[in-house]
Amino acid sequence: MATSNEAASRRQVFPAAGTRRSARASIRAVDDAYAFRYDEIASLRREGRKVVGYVCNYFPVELVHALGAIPIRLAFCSADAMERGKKYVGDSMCPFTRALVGEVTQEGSFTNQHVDFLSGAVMCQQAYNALRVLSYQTKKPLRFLWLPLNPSNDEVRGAFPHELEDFAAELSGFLGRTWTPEALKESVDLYNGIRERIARLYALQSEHSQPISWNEFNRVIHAGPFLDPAHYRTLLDGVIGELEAPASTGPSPASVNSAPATAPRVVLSGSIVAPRDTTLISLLEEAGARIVGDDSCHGSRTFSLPIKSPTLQGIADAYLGSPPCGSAQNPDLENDRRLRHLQDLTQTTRADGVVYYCLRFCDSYAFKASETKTFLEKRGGVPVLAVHSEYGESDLGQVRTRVEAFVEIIR
Amino acid sequence: MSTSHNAGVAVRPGREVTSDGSQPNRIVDYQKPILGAIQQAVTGGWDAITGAMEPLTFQDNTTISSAEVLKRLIGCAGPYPHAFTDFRHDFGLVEGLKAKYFFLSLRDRLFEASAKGVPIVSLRGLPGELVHAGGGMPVDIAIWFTESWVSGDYRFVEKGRQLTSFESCPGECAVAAILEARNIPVDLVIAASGTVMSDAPCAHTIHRGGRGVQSLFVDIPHGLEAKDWAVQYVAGQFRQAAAAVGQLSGKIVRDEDVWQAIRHGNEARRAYREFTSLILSPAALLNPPLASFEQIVAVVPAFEWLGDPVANANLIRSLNKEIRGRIDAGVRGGGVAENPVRLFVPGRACLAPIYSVIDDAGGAALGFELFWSFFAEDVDETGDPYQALAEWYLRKWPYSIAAPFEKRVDWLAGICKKGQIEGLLFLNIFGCNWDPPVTLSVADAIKRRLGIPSIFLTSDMPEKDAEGRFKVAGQHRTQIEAFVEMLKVGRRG
Repeated sequence: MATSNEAASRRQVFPAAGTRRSARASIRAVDDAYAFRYDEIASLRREGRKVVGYVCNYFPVELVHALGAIPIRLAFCSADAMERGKKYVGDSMCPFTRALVGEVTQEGSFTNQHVDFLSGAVMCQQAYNALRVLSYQTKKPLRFLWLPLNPSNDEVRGAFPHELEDFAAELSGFLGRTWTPEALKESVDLYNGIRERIARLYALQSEHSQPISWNEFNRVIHAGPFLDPAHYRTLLDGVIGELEAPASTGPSPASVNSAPATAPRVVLSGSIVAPRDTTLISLLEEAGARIVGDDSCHGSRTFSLPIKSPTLQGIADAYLGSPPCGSAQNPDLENDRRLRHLQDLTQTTRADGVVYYCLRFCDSYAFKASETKTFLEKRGGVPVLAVHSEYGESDLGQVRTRVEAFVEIIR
Repeated sequence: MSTSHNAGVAVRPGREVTSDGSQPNRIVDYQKPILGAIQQAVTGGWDAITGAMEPLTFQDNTTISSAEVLKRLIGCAGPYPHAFTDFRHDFGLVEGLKAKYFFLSLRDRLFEASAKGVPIVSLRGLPGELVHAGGGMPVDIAIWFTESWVSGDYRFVEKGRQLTSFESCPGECAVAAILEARNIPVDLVIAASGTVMSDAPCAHTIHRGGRGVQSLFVDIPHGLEAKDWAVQYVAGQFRQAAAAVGQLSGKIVRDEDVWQAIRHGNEARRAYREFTSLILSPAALLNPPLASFEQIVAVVPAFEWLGDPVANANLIRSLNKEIRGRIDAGVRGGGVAENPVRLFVPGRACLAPIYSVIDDAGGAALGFELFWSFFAEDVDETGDPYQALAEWYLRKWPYSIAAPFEKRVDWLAGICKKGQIEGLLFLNIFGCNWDPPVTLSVADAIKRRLGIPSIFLTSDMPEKDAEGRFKVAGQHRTQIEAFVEMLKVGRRG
């Protein structure tokens, strides 16, 4: 029986709760799997499996999976959790990290009860501090995975595999298990399979004549880091199959809550869009825009790293080569991979505009808003709207007005 | 029976300073009373001050006399019209006056050095030895936001917030604005890139789009201090950083150059450690020889030695002599209450106007974690110099906020015990995420371990009244007064 806090916690992290059931059976299956996953994890823990709660998209889930543990990504955005988090970290942290702290410190919450080990390949000081506070307050063990913040530095290619090796050894010690090359290959293949399918979904969503709403799409994408990966891969096959099926097989489910194919095409960039962070997306779609891609760290960036070799070096190369976070620095503007990636994304998706989401106090993206805007507008002629916001509805009206004006301009 | 050296004198701030640092070459009326105040403060007047103050010798062997220091500070057409502001000043502490000069003269010294071809390096969160060894002069530009407080000119902060974010820490946005305005002749930016301070490199990259300031980031693997490969990794980057400075100065950086810089740094660190020993000595705890504001002025240079570790060490050694004299004579610092409530400032330490409020309320800020931790340990003077610096940086945690949580709490607890600290005062800055998010947990750990309570103040820029005088926000004054009063009541109970 779930405690009241646990039940509340499930509502916060379960994307489908409180929202309309999808018209598509395959997406309902993802939602159901998500809802069932809580009990599944609790059951697996009773059998002795450990749960590693992590933050940031550069965390090598393959390693954890190969060690027989359950990796779940810690990402929350409830306004309640954000308020609770202030008690431990003050109110100058970004809403995401405040909500993270508020959620995991809540006694009896699912994550508080079921996460055994905290970790993260953190990029910014806020996530770093949030994990330190969480470890102190919950007494859960913490081991950061260091990821170079200056990926343009050649020396990192030599240093990062050392860190992965140390990390794997320490995690092995905690879990009491060792990984084998065979297990690692199996895990890498599994997650590579997921990434291929996610890439296919992004392409479909960009090209489909009747795309599903981006919030519904995100429900599918955001479910991945919580679900059993093998099960998730199967579920993705179902979603792809349904989306690829000819629209003539029945009334278009997409028409329920999606933007028309002819709507202005928008790429979403900037700070993390956490599970259930639906406000900005809803406002964009209500204003008549169609979201055709993102570079969110909980979106496409999570999946932009095919691992070519199932070794620690292969994993290191893949994570170092993936599009960097705003916290990563490149002193050379012309070769900034984050901006290049975003520029490429706007071109491949034929975007009419970019909405750059800045969570309050997210310095990593806020400091770069102006530069990103200048870069894209000069090189691609793509207009950019920077939106500063936080969880809750305190600024709903202001954001709506700005979004509506922007969509009107790019229409 | 102890005596207070003087009551401390508060004077008007200079309105004449401009944001680009240019000096209004005219008489500044408000300065006139200062000379009289100083003369009254010290028996024997002006001659006694200049006689008591030792000359200041710099790294290049140039020396400035005590008379010249005073002339520049308080001369009617002097270059530093905002040397003395509304804050309380202990004019009897003559070496404290010199410390203020050292602080205020940095910008002039940077321009003088630049004119001689010395590369000026904006250094953030890294050891100054790397720049000195390469023949450059380091400067932490964020310190100018402190100058903004002193001068009352907030335009850099406002401009910086346009460039970065309206929610930015005032230090980081000042960095962005000053680089934009070229208010300081920076030739190279070298900044630590790490999770402890991810906003700092972001502020430094604001201008990478063609304004001509070359940037170099040193990637710090925080949390991996025990790993030999991490030390090697950082040492390799330190070597590149020193070489980059050497390229600008036209110098091939030899290991001996780094060793010399390390030796200079260690001398300054030792002088500072003597300073902390004096402050924490039993007699000084009874009668603190420095007021809270003088404390912060003395230790602020510790980060980059304000461009000159030799001068900094000389200055602190002279200050130590003067402090020792006060301790031996049982003399309290100007403005310090009798038997004050002993406070320590962990984490960030800013908000200069607050320090006078602490003294007024009957407290005394005995020290500052951010600075004290920076000189708590020497760099080892054996082996490879870059590796020695990397080991110091990663394993001795000069930036204590980067230390593992338990190590940091251990260090703080040790200081609290030695200093018989009665309360912790966390002075958080709006928008700062280096340390404030963790301070509630640090305070909790100290409370559990030693029973010492904490108070948290978060502020942005100081407020000013209708006449342009600095003031401390009412709620902060009330908070500090109530906190000190509570601790006094606790003593009786």
